[in-house]
Amino acid sequence: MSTPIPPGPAGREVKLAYPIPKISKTTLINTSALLRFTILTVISAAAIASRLFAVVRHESIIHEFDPWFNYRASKVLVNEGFYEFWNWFDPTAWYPLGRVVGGTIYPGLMVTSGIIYNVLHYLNFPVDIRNVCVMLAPAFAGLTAWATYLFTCEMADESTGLLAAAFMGIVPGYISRSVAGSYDNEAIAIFLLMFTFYLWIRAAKTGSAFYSTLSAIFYGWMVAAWGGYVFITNMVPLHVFVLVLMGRFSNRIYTAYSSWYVIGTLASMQVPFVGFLPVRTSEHMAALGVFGLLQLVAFVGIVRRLVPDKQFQSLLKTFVVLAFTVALAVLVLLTTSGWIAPWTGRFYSLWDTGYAKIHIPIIASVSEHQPTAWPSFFFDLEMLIFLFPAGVFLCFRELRDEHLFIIIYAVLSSYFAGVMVRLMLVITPVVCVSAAMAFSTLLKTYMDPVVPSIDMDTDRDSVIIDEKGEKKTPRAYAEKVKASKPGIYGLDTRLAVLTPLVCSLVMFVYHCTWVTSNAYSSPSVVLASRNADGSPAVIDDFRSAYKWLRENTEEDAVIASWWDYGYQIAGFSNRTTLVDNSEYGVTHIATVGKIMATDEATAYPILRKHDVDYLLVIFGGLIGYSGDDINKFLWMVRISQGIWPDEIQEPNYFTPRGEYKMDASASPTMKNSLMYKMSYYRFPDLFGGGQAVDRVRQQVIPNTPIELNVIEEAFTSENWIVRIFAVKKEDDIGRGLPESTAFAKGTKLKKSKSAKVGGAKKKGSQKA
Amino acid sequence: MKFSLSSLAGLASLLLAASAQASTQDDFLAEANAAPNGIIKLDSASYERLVSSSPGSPRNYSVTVVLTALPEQFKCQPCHVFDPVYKTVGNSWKKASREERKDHFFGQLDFSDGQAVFAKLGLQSAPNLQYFAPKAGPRKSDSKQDFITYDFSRNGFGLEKLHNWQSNLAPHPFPIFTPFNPIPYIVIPTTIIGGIIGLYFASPYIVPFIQSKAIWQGACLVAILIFTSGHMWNRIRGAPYQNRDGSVFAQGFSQQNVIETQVVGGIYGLLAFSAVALASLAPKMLGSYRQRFAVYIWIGVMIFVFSYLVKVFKYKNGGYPFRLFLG
Amino acid sequence: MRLPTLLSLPLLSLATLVVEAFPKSYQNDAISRSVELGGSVTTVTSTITARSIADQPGDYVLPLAGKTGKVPIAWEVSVNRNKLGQIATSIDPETGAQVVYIPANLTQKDQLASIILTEYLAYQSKPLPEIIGQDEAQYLQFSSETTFPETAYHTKKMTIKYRAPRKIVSHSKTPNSYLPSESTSKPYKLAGSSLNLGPFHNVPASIKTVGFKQSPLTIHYDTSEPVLAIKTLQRFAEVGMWGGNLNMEDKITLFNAGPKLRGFFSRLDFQSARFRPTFPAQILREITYPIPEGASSPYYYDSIGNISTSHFRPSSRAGLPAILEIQPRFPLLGGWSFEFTVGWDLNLGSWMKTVGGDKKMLAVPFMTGLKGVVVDEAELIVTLPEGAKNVEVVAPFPVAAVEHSVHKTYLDSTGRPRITIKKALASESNEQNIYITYTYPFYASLQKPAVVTLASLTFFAIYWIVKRLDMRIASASVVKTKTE
Repeated sequence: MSTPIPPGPAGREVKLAYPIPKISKTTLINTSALLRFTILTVISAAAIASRLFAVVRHESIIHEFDPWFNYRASKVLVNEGFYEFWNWFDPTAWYPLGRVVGGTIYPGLMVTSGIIYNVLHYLNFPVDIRNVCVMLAPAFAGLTAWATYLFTCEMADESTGLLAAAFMGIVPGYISRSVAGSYDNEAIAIFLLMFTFYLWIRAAKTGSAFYSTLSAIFYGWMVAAWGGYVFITNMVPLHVFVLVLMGRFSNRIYTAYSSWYVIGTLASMQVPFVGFLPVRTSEHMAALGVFGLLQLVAFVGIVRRLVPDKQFQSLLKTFVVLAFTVALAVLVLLTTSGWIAPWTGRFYSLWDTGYAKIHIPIIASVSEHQPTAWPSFFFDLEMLIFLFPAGVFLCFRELRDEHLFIIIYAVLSSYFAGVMVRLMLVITPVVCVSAAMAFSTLLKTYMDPVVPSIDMDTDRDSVIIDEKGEKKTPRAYAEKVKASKPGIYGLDTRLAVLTPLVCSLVMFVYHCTWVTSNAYSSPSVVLASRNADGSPAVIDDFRSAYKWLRENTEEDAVIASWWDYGYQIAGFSNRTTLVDNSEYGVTHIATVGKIMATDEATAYPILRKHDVDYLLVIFGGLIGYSGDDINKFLWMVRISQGIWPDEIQEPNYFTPRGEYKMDASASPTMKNSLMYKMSYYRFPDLFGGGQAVDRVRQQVIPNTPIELNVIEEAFTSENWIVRIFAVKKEDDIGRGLPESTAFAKGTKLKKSKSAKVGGAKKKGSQKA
Repeated sequence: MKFSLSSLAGLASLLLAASAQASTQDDFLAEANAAPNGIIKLDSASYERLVSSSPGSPRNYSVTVVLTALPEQFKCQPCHVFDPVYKTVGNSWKKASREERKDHFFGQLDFSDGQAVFAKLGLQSAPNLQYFAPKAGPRKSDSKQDFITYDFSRNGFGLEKLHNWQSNLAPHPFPIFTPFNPIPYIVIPTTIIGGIIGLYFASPYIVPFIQSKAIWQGACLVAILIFTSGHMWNRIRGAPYQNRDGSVFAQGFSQQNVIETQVVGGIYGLLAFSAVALASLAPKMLGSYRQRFAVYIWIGVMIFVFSYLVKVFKYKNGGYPFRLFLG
Repeated sequence: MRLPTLLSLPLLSLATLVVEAFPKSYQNDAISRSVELGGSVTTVTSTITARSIADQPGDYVLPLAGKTGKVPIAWEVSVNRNKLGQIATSIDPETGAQVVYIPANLTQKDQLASIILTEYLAYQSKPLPEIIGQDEAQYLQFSSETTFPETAYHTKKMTIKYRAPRKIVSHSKTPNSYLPSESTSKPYKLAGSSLNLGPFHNVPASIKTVGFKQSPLTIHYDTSEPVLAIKTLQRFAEVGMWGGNLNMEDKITLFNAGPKLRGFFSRLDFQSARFRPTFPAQILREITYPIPEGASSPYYYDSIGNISTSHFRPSSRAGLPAILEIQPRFPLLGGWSFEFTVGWDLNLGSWMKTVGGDKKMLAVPFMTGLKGVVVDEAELIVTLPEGAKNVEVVAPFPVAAVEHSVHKTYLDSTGRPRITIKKALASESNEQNIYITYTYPFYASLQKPAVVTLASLTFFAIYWIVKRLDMRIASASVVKTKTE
């Protein structure tokens, strides 16, 4: 089993578990270099390829909601130029307020794709900006794999780096935000995050101002690209702080951090949306504080060198502590006195987890702000999730400065990921890195052919029995034991471990592919479905409705819909919207919520005051599309209740038994709400006398005809998913709208309703 | 003009009601005074009497009733959480003047005394808080449903929310009354000072702890395991400890029990440890037999537990196509 | 409708005593005109039997439109069944009518020539009523100033026939002049979907006769098809020399020119209409778009992405076009418009041939004609391969403009010559090839690879140099000490 080979480096005979071919050192170096390059290339290719499911299945299209805004902004950037974009005021959003876009967004993403676009066009590659936007995320995913490789190389060695890169390339936790078409800030942010960290580690290790400057510059880019930059802003200082506490302060740290902080902060302040936040808000105070602390410590260090005296040193220690506490006190004072803004709600809700639900329903209502249940951890990271702690353990074993970074990162990010689903994105890189460390340690240990020089189970001379009849190891042997380095003996043990490991890798790949193709690759604008004969088909209702708006409504028509669809309406049909996905004006969103939640009489004046021409609702009842507006309705009610608690009360929308029902037992408030009426208008007629079953809620809709007085149906998509209603203008001869409707219908009208709505209508016309 | 009209109407209705209602109203007032915290203990009969209102003799006072299940055998955790809060609110109302107090009553109906009522209302869960608006008098409401239910799922068991809700519905807003409690004013400072002193003296013993690598290591790993096994979800969503039938794993991808997360955390821990054992402990063994034994043990553990984990996940996520050696 | 009757009385007397003031070289034995109503294009076919009544009669003067009549957007003439090429129209000096001179090549008296004139008129029918509900029937009204075919010669016998796609509901008073005095029969025959006028006898040469009175006519008729028009049609054709591929792409803005929709669209009514005997005429659900034979890999999208509702049927047998069945994203109702793009690939070999040395000749169909659809503004944009020179364009019909420009696209260095051909008011009769000749030397085809290779080489060179530059401020040793 073991073959002797000529004396190894130590000059002693080395036993090998299996023969290895003789290769000259230079060849080895060159081959490994070539291999590294090739493997990295392949990994990047895999990373890109695995994100193209949506494009292959459907087409090159922008996904979901927010990306549509980014895409629109990018179009403005490339069509009208940078300065136009920088101070772009968008009158078609948040009608009638409009929105100052330039100053209220992170421009990094658009600028990045804008640069790519212009470079390509300069080289006579007339690529459509849409395709640039769609492909941006996969391209940067490839870069992220590379950055992860570099980062991990700083932690361990190249092979580990390659493993980490491979993990990072295909792990669903990252793919979820970076498939082709999900053109969102995260698309480039994760690359910037990893690369900034890599440069920082590099700087901290070498103490080179060059690297820390680079890292600061990338930090600046990150700030311009994603709100999550705050994580870096606190992560790096924390790393330094811990190092100082552990007495690992050195000139390298000092140089690296000081230059990073100064340049990075200046860079970040160039972004209009950030502006003076870095010196005015609590999120950034840690960085400032540590900067100050470093100066003190450095100062003390100098003094200590000059004055080698025990008491004096202790004095200095206390001085440092005092100074630090004083600084802290001042900070607190400034905060309380309002000079430094306290934590923003969004950020604060990370710590006080109940906060958002009570105070900021807007934030709480977003699905990706929900906490994370354990299955989604496993779903997104599979086996990495339990290799992750093992890796952290190994980091503790040899506790170098950069390993501390990993540890801190690991603990912090696992907390964040637990609190908010979307922050899964932040934990993923560190999980990949540390899992790779654990995994490659395993592989290396069990692949290493060298067998330990001694084996106490087989060596006769390992144990002697002394006169007292006790077993003990002779001194000579003890020497050998000291000399021998740990390793694996049997070839079978090696195989026994390696085989399962390799299998688990294969399974990991299958898992990732499955998750990506099933969970993260649908552009949510187009729904995949099947024909009667089982052939794949697409449900394209959204686009047909948006297209209709684009082609067949007035240029300046105002569309009111729930805020989720604001960006898509702007992007697809180029019309003015009341509210959109930027959580910009709570009152405005609440207004729309109120329109949807109240009856026609109350809603009409509001509609007219906001010049609304069309109302758009999403209704899944016919084909069972569960993401429709009725399922979001309660949030509309809650948000508007926040503003008008006396007019809208959530309990009124439940049945007396507190159930959320649409059938005959639905509460009258629910039945009178515009949302209910618009969703189910003429829905029962479709079943021609049969039971009208809402396929989403599995409830039978009563077929008492719903009559609309102040609005009329304008367009309904093929599967009724999108329903558009036109708001009637005041009657020319001053009749109440019910009268005119009834007159048009040629029917007599009931007394009460007419009086009510008529009155309301007059009110509206006066106000309008 | 409008005001006077309504008040007149109120007056009229008061007079009308007085004859029928006065008696019940007064003795309920008596009970309320007698009761601690001014909360009337009710049973099915008295509940009906308290909230009864007929066109002939409309109820001219408002009522807040909590339908709860305090006795131990019901194991109603939230009931016990809510009880003190409700008592505080009731107590605060008790500080109002006698005249006002007969316009609003606080009642408490326990499941053990009022199964009939629970059955009648078809209530499956406790606690439930109901508010009955007066049917007569200046505050009379003409809403169809005869009582409003306080939405616990949204408002939670917090005192402020309940108090806001209640004092808006009560005849007049009333402050929260909390009896003066001197303990904190003494306890807190002493603890702080004591703590500092203690730290100072104990520092020689504590410092090594703080500086020990092992402790930090353990702490970090535990923290990671806790968070990645979904602890925060439990905190925020208030997950149940286990299923009704005592089984561990909750149905559904985005549902989980407390015990479930603990199990999963354990699994992760075990797997991680086996990895560590294989990576760094086994190679240090100096005997080929022992080492072989250890390696087989740990790889076995790893494979088995991982398979189990996959099985569990398959249970949570029906569509999951893969499986290992188990199930 | 009262006016014509009054006029018709003097007409009778006038007709007898007109003096025709020019040398008679021809007379028309018979003119039979048939008018196809419906859609936004009206097709008028007049079959003329001309007789020479003098030796060497010269060219036959054929008026396209009189002073009052509407000028056709396109027309074709054939003499004795052979189609004539492009002939310039000219304004007749004395009458101001738009005429063409046709070589009938007759030599002496009493020879016959049969001339067939096909004219296409745009928007001759207007919707009436102009606004209808989703499920109501769609009626159009045809109106024309000229009932009699314009002619420059005395005509013995004239018959005029109007054919509508469905029932003719009503029509205005038909001319009752030039009828045989003894005939007691009505001057017209109305049978369901067709209206026959005449025969009229001895009609004088309308454009030459002073005071000849045309009588206007309006016909109100029912339709079964939506009235379609194309606002703009842009056809892009790009020649790929390396791939041997001719890519064509049509950017179309379709418009429902029928009666406008009253109120809004109801999906429920639309879906239930399928179960009724007759589907509402104004609703367009699908267009069948013929594309050239041998077309491959077709695509169909619009400003917001791919459209999945379409079928491609390759040509069933040689000579037939392939069919693209296109559904718009939403049914197109009266007054609605829909913008989309369809494209396909063709084998360059069958559309371009080499005519001597480097000289190539490319044939590109100007547009795809849809039956009875007018294109308000048609445009053909041909992009030739990089390095093509001396480009010449030959169009078989008059066009508004031919523009030359340079277009730069993938991996281009000097750019490709591009030709833009414009025409207003095109119809199916313009579905003809445009011929483009250009010279394309062999070295031109090597230009692109050469440029690419050069570029990549320079890139590698730069990389190689940069890699070998030492850009550290401090020397390696210093960095080492720092790291320790």
